Amino acid sequence: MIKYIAVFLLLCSVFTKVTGQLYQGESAQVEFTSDAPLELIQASSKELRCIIDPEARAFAFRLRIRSFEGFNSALQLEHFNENYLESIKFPNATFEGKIIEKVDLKSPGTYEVRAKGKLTIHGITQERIIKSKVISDGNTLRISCSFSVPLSDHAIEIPRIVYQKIADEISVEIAATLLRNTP
Amino acid sequence: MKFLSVSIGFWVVFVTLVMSPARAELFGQQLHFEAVTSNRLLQEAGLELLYADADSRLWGGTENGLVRLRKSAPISYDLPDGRALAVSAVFQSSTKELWIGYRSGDVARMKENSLIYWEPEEGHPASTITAFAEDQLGQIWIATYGEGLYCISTTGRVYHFGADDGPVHEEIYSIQLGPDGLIWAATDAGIIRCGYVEGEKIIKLFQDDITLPDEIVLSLSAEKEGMWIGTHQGGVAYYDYTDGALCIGVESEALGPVIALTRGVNEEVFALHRNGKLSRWRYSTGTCLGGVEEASPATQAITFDREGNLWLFDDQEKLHFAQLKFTYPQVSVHRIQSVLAIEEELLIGSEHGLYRGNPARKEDFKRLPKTEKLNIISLAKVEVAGAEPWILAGTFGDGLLICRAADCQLYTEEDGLSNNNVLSIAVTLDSIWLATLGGVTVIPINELRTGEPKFQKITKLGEQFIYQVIAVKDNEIWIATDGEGLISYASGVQKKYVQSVVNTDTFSLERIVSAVYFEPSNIGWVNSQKNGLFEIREAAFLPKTVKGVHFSGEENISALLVDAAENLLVVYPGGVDIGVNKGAYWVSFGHSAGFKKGGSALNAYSPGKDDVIWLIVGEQLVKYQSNYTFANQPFTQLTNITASGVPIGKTQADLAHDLNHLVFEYDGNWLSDPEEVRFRYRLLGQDLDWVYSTDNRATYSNLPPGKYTFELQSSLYGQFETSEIIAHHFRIWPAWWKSWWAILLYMFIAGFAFVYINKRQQLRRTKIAQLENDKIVNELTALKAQVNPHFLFNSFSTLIATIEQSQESGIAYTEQLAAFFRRVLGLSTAETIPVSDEIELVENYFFLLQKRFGAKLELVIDVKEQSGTLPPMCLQILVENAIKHNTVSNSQPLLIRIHRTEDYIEVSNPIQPKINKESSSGFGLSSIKRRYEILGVNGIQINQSENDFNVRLKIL
Repeated sequence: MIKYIAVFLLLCSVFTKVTGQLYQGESAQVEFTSDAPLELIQASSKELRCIIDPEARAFAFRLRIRSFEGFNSALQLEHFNENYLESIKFPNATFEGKIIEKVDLKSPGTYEVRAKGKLTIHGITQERIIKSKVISDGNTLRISCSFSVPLSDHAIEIPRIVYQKIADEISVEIAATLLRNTP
Repeated sequence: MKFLSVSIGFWVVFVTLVMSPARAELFGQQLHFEAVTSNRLLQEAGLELLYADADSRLWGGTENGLVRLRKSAPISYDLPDGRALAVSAVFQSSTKELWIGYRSGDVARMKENSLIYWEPEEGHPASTITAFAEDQLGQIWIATYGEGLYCISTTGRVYHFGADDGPVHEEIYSIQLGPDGLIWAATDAGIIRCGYVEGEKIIKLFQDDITLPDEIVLSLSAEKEGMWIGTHQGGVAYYDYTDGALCIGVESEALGPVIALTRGVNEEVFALHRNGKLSRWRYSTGTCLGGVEEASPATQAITFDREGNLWLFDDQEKLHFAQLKFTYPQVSVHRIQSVLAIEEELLIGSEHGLYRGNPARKEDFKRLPKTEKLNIISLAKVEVAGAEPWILAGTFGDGLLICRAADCQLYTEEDGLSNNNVLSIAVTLDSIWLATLGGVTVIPINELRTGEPKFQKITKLGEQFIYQVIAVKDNEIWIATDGEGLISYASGVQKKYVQSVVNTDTFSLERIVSAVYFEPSNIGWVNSQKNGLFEIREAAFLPKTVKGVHFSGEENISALLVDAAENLLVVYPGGVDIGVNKGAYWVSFGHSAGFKKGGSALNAYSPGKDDVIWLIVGEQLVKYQSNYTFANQPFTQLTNITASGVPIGKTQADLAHDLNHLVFEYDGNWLSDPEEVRFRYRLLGQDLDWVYSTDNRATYSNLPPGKYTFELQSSLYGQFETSEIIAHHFRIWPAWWKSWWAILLYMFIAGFAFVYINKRQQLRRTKIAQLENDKIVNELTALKAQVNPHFLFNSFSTLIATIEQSQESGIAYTEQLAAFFRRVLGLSTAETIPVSDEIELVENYFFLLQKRFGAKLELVIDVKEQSGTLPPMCLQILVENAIKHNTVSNSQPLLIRIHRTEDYIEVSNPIQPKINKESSSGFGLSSIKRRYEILGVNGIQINQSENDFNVRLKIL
């Protein structure tokens, strides 16, 4: 995990130094839904940090797991942090990579892009392509996307007793606004 | 400068020297391209790619979408949203799923005969799809021009292979599954090999130690153990994966960039060059052999089908195809009559002499000296140890030419030859047999070795026309004659065959036999001009039908033989019929395979090297590749099933009762000759026999419930015996109300109903019986009442007293009494009586009582409305009851009131209990109740307050 944070920080510093043309998170919302036969669990976080380099079409997203709120009970939140995602051991989820489409996000417009990168949750990294919609007006980027995270992808183990209460694929929705950062 | 030019010259010479034998192999051999369609739709849309799938379907990619090319007009396949996108790749997976890639980056698949978009969660590419491939794990790979590669993993997730993953050049022209199990991608930066195994991306460059003829690779075509590589400027190359060798097809450099490679048969590949030229290549231990196909039109797209046809689309928007089994070597010899293969070379006998040369080299055939006036119609060779074989050439009219090395001598009738027309030559270990128009002549070889040939006549066939002699196992000779049938010679014994008995039928072989052939196994084939083809098995002649479309049986057979793949070949002017598996199934090749009608040659074939058989068809030299095996049956397929207008899938086997109008649509795909496809089908459970059809649909209406199997076969020319049966099992269920459980349910309900009704009726019967009984009791009681002794006694006492007072009153009383009894007797049988009668009766009764009680008893009748009826004597009983239970005295006179409310008559009296209660059976009230019950009415209400007792009777 430290490696990824390091990479993230490195990315940040490299971006700012070299290009000077970065979009950084202004506000963001991550919401997840577990729609299991016996229970619907929803939680959200506003602590999604994101950064996009439009020149390199590179991006990095980071989310503190402990920032999730919601859930159906306090106990559930505790289980989420302590047992399932082990947020002390793996405090962050990250997604970093490159946009496949050769788009120039600096020019205003609406773009359907595919973000290809490494999604790390619970310390397990998976390569994913996530379809996203980006609305740019030059200075701000509004990003929205939804995708699913199979628990098995990230070695998140659910005790047999709560099988019916937690879906084996968690759907995630992200809405973020990024501002152009000119030094 | 001079030095340089010399060195270039040297290299040119060197290259020519080294490469010319290699390229010569296929050079100058030509496929016959037959134009099939020039369709307006194709002309408008412009076909950019062709793809023949494993189901014998030919797909075309146009600017506006996918089309399927058929015998009739092409069918276009629209995308679900109606967009007209340019098709850039078509691929059929091992699971028979058709993938279509578009220039826009969209990807579609064929489902149930219509296109659906491929829409993974990851989204589809945004760059042109250039190719698809499938790896050993069943993962589908998609190549793009601009975005690299995509792999659809076994879990369904899509992975991208791009520049950020390693040395992946993202502009990919073509991909193929390589012999190493990796996907090989052709790019501007050479070949990249990719794989996705157990969650790991594998990216490798092409072998470091191998230098490709050009870095820019445009096309690839995989073989089991190697890869054909089409480059931009370096032509075609082959990389042998087993030993790492790379060969380069030099000539293709000059033909320009290799934009497409299509796999042919037996490690052959076709290369399409940007200039529209087509070249054909074969890999043979370290060398690339091949060259340009000169007869091909300017080509834009190529594909190869399962039937052995190479399809191409030319720049004139015309579709052509060529059958690979037959090639037409470009030789400069015309009017060819006979052929003989000797090693790499061919001897060709024509009307203008005898030629010798290598068919792989154009303009290489040299006429043998002094043969220009000879018409060579038969050829044979005699092997000579350690030297060139001797050549025997039979002429038409000029005798026999014998060439021993360079020494050629012509022998005629003057030398002892029986006839100067030598039609066929057979060579055994010790003799040469000649079939002439003047009988059979034999030349002993031993004498020929030492000196001049000696000609010996077979006396009995001295004057006959003999068409063919063949030698079987070096000691058995078979002779086809005109007039004597078929004759065999073995160890000096002659046998004649003119007819045969098979299963009590006599088949005449007929006396004119034009061709005969024996396999080493001693199974033979013979053609008799009138009665067609026979199979000879242990000296029995079994007639064999040739089911091809072209051969009629009466044509002159120019060759009859069995090839290395056990196919029986019938060669005649204008065509070749191939009897697969010794004639079990026939496939016919005619003009579309390039055969021309023309003069017929006799016995004109010669087996060459590498399973090649040289044939003469219509005076043309044909190279037949007997080791090329292709599909020979149409691909049969149920395309669509609708039940009562509802499309149902091929897996839906259970149909509701109302889905009983079934339409089966099917295809028998055969690209080579679609007109010759025939169908037969039957519905087991309905049809008793096969239904034969050329139509593409079968309809069944109003099928009753039951189990069915639809069986379908397609074949060429109606040869169904060997074709695969496609079966579709289904079941029409009965309507639920006709199902067994419903019938069971009905039986239960009926049973219950029966039992219930029975029970109820029994109950009613008992009740009626009881009521009847009650009624009888009632009547009896009424009768009893009528003769109540007290009443009588009282009445008589009263009567006496009255008579004492007044005789007249006495008479009146008696009359009243009599009237009362008469009335009672008259009424007691009736169910109901009118209210008026009842009132009259009670008044009558009261008159009798009043004489007794006088003022102590008072009856007030307040019934104005006298309509309606009542059960008889109810009022009388109530009045009697009132008197029975109450004190009637001077101090306590009893007032009984009878009055009517709307529906009721009420009888009421104050309660004045008697001191000595009269014993009571309680019969009165209950008898009234019963009477109402008989009538089915609950008509009596009894109200008792502290002081008052009243009974209300319902008026009926």
